[in-house]
Amino acid sequence: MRHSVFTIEVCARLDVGPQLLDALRPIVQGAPEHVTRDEAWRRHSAAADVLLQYIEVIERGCWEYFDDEARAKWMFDDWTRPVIDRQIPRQGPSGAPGYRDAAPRYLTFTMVYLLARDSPSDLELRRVCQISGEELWRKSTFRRLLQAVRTLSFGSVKADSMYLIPRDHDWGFTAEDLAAQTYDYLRPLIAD
Amino acid sequence: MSERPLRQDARVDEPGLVGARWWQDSVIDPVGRRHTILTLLAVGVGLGVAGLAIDACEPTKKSRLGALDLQRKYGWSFGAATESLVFNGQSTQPFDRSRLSWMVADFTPRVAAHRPFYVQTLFESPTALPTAVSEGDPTPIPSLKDALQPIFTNGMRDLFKWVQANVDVLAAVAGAALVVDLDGQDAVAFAAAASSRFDPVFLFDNWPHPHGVVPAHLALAAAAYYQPMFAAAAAASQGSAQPAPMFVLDRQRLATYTDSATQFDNRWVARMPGVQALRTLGIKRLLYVGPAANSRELDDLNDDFVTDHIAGISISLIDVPTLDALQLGNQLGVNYVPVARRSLFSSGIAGGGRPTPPEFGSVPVVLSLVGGTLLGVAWSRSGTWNRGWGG
Repeated sequence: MRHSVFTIEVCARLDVGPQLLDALRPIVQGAPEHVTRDEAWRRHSAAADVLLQYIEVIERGCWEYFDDEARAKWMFDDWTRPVIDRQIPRQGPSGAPGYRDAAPRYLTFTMVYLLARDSPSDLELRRVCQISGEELWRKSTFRRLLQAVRTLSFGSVKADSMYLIPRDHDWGFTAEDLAAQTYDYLRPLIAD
Repeated sequence: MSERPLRQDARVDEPGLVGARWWQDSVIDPVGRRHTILTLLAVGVGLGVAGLAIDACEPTKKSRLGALDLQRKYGWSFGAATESLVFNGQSTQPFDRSRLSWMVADFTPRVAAHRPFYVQTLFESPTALPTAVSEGDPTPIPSLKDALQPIFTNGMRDLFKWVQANVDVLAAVAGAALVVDLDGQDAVAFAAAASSRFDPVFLFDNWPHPHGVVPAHLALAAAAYYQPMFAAAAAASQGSAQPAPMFVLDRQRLATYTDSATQFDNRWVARMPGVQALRTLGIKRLLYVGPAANSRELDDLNDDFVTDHIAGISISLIDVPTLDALQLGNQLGVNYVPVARRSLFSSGIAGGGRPTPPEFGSVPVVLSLVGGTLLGVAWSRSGTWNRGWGG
């Protein structure tokens, strides 16, 4: 079987929309070790719904679709490395934004899928990912991609992952954290 | 199928990160492999658009590096580590794989004066081991020695017979050297059959690659088939008269390179001895062996041949295997006059230096903006390499 990989990652203002973290956390934490395809779909669909609901506080993002066999597997491993290798970006808390601390805080949420290439879900994602250059970083594009996540069939998903950074409010990214070159891939999104 | 087919294989639940990963074994392949291959072209246009989107995500830059240098460092199948070579015409004869370790030695010219012109690059490839692992290749690349299979095609067989029948006629031409310029496997078959009367000087200057423009693996596979014969010829020649050189080239070396997104540019140009070197070897005539009637020299030989001709070295064109003995004798009597022509690989000026296209023999790669680390080949698309915080 050949594979493709689809990933979407968003970066949202944690200080402006703290409810987003509270809404996403149980979706990730609550998943049991063994799940049915329907349960998997519900979990990912719920996460996509939450992100769509909070799209206004999402400021940056990145997505990719990749269908070369070797690259698909390698990229899936690479995207899921934070979970596999427990790569936690911050070594300590950044502090919760408070009344006397107006500095912004951020979260990132990532969904990764290794799909059976040419399966109905893969073909649909491939179609949705045909996006012109000037549309790449529009929020409308991310909205469209998140809606595509809701249509995935987990009969076509070989493996998947989702992760949320941070889990706790006082461990959010600071603006200085995200200014590092390693986060250049998270591009500012253009409002519609 | 189990009731709960997705199983968790990793989980993190820390203040700074919460997440998990799931796998399932029961996904059904939607289409057979053959059908998938046949449909690749049909979806190519759409994939190109998606690829554009993905490129925009990267904190990386693209560059080009020498194909052979990359293969030597990262492995022969650099950028395509999980893909394999296809050996059409695979031989069923017994095969001693350990003998591949001796390829460089077994194909060395027997005459010491010919050895400076021997290009052993291709014969180094089976046993070469990479010194580094590219981030883009999921696993370290194993030795080519384990993937190589000898071939013996009908074309090789027919050519071998023709040469056996006619090699004495060729060897009878005084002061003549052969320049064998046939497709790799045929060139090797020709050299094997002629090795009793000529000293093979191989000029193969590349390595095989699964996406290679030049199917160098076929030349190498043919060499593996005939290797015992070359070794035996070398052993038998000890102390005998010195045969004339036979320069052996792969006619696919300048194969058309159209798509850097899917092809690996393992092309090369011929490195023939210059006029002075030919004179020193006693060469007064070049017999250029091509595959069809009036096969003129490939572009990369044009400047050399024009210069050789001006310097008084005559040239004849030999077409194989279309000639019978009588026709061969007639053709040996015809002098070929090379005309300077301008191309990507020839200057068009008598005595001019040979040009090469600016990106010849190189491969597009993706480099990290941080430190310039090589991340992989820039095939049809690339991802957000160097993303993340873990190193």
